[in-house]
Amino acid sequence: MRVLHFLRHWMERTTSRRSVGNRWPATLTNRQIFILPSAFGMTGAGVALALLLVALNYQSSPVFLLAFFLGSLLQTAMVITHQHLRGLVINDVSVDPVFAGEAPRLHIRVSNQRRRARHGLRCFGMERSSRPLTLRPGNTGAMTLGLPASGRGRQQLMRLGLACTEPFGTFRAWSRLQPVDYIVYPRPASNAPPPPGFAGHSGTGATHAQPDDFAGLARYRPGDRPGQIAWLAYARSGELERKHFAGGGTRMHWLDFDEVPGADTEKRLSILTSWCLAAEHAQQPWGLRLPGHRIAPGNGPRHLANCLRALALFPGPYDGDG
Amino acid sequence: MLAGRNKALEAERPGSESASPAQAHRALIALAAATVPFFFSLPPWVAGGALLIMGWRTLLLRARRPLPGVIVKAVLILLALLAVVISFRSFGGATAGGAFLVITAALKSLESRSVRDFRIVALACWLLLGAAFLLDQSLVLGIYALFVAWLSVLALQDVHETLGWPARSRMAGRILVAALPVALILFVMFPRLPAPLFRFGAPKLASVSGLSDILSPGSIAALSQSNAIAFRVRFQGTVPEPASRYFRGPVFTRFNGSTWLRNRDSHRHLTGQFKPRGTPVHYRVLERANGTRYLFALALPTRIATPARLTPDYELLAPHRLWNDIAYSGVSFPHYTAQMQLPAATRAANLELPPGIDPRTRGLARQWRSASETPAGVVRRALAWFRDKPFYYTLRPGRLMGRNQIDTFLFQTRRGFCEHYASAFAVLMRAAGIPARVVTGYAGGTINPYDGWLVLRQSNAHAWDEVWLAGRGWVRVDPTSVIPAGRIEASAASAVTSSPVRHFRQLDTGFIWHVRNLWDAVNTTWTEYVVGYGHSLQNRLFEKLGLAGAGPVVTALLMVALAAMAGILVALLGFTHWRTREKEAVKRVYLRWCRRLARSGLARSPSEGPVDFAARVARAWPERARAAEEITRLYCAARYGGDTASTEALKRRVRQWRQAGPGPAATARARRGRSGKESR
Repeated sequence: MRVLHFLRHWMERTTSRRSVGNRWPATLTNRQIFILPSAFGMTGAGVALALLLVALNYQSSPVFLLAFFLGSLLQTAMVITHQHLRGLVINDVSVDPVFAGEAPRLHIRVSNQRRRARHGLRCFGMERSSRPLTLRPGNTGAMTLGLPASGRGRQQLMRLGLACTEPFGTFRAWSRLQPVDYIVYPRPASNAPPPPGFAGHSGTGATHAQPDDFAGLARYRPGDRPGQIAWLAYARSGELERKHFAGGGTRMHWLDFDEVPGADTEKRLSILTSWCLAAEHAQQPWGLRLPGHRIAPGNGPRHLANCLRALALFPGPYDGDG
Repeated sequence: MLAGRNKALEAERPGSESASPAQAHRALIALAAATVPFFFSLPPWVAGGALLIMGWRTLLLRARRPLPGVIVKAVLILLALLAVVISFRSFGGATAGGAFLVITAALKSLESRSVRDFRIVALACWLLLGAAFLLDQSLVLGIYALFVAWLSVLALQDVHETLGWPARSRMAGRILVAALPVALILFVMFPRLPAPLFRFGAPKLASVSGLSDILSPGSIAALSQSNAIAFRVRFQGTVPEPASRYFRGPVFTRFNGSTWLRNRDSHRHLTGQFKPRGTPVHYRVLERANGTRYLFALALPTRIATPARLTPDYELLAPHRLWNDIAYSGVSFPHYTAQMQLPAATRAANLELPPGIDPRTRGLARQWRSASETPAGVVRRALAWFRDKPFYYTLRPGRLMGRNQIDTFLFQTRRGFCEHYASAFAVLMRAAGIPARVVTGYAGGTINPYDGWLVLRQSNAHAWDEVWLAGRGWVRVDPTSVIPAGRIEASAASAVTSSPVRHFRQLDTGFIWHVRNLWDAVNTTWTEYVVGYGHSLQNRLFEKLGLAGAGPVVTALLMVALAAMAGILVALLGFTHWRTREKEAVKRVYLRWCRRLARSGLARSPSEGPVDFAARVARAWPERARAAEEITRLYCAARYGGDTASTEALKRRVRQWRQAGPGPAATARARRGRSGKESR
């Protein structure tokens, strides 16, 4: 048992040390690919061995040939299994943010840059395995793994990897990926009170008119490079016009943690989450105030994502636009 | 929105998901194909029953009906066990074991559900082939086994494959071809031992017949109707005359009135020597598996290159029964002098007759003895008597009944096959006081014109006598040979055409005859080099390779390591893309173009495929859209299509692009330049 334990420990250490890094794209190399026979592979080897024993017992040449043929076939399968992973390019690994209680999905985008098709590529993690993927030469595809739901906050997926058992299921080749972080937003409260300032609730929240300029940028946390974050948002999404429009003389709403009824932090975060969703749905600009930091008013998916992220990481340091 | 688990995206652990109907069918076809050979080597109910069970599984698969429960399976297993035990009266051994294996594999298919189950079924095909080879080692089965192996690989391949069957078949074929070299290296190099390490469960070779340890009237005649090959001989130099091609098998000295038995001393070694005369004949024998220990040498051998010994009756015995075809070489002298001094015990044994039977035969023998001056004279008289009296040579002599069977044959029926004549002749000699014994074996044979091998079939089985004459030792006498051609019945004619006693020419030289000889020659090669590949042939090969000194364990390890390396090499050659270097060059050219575009403000993001990138370039820079698309097309063709002509075209296009001048509008450049910076 001790030896087994040691072996397992050693295997775990080695595979995680040689896991594929977080810089994409990454190409799987021999160093990162591990291969071991599967239970079925051991059965195959057992059959080959049984044939060899029969051949030795009866001194039958054709049975010798059969035993060696099967053994050689298994060995060839091992090389082929390894080849299915070797040189595979991982373009991207990502997990879409989800609300607490929802099942997140891991996406691994891979491309096949060799001349032969790759078959049976799967990703695995959390004791699960994705459906097999076939990649024809030069093609790109994605493996998607449904993961179990988890609580709010920053979550880390450990022991992720890519595996392949093709062509016969006799060997399993795999590569480990480095842990992947993802964000779980608070679960939206199902029976939240209506958000202050929306739909006739004017004046209850801290709302005030916002001039249509970007003076608000200056109010970001000190230490952030000025303008970087807003610039990114607008360069990426190209929502420049919408921001001008959003600021165009409408009323600004502040969703404030301190104004949420109740004492339970998680519940209040849930309510804030549903308020953010409602505000986004109402297409009105809003800002978010949390103890310690706040997010300037705005709207659009980018803004919503920022707010939800801040709620997800509360009270941890809000690490800005991510 | 708040779904629990996303079933659609999850798979169960690889292998435990249920098999697709296509994979199940492939596994069932492979198993059925592996079962078919047992129709020829086992009672037909075995393979028939197995195929019925597989048919049942196929019907359940088609109808999407549930599989039978535990009770049904238990009953089937018990029935199978019972049927095997009743039919074979044993449970071990290659025959009963093979039968049980065939049925068990079929039953396994009946309970197979998952991918792994059906893969195990596909794997079971190999065990079935192994069992089939124990019962039959013909070339036909060898070729058929390759076909079954291919079917099995097809069934082993993954189920989620979307490929059509031609692509799938090619893939399976490619894997088999890649695996073949290692298999052959191991086959040739794996140390073979002169005798098995352990031995249990000898097969009963249903399909093979041969000479037995008991000679009763009709036993050779039964053999004569089989056209199966007993053994083949290739002579160095000239082939001996038909009249001297006698290959000795079991020798019989004990007679009980109807049946001859072998000497009780046959477990002992030969002590008396024999003196070879004349020139030696060198030859090589390929003997078919026959379940006996008899090796067939021409006349008396002076050297046999396989473990063997001579019994006191000069029978050549292998150390164990031959369950496999065997190849050995030997040296014989067609002429010899054996046992000039006959020990008293041997003399008595070869004169013994059951008391009180066959009075007329004894009387005739005594009469000849008194009329002749020498024992040789008695032999001559006896042969003349067979020639002159109306003796007929026939495969259907009718049964000899009663106490005095030899009397009945010699004085009433006078119709018999070689064993009748040999038996009666030996009784006559013994009654006349001349030591005599019956020898069975093979005689004559036909030469295959394609490879020069002399083929001896079961129809060449023969019985003759040896008499001991003072001053000459044991002398071969073949009483059947004196029967005139006119008294040979048509039914027996085919049996004697190729025997030395009848010098009939084989007139049949038509197309079929040629095909048969050619096929036979191919079979000979298979038997000699594949089936007959064993300790002696391997030793000769190792001597040539200079490996003879190494011990078997060292050799084995060395060969396994070599084969493993060779296998990995072959598989790598077959399954990697070969011209990496060329592809790297193609990629360099393309990346050069990408860098150039990046300087112009159009950077390709790392996750952007070439085609997507080309589309973006086309949007940003419409006047260069066609050139960008062309470069991308050539790049894809060269890199993924393996089209070497595209490489040169690609280089040219990228050069032209550079010469075409600076990039798109300055404003767009500035804007996208920043975005390019960001995505890096």
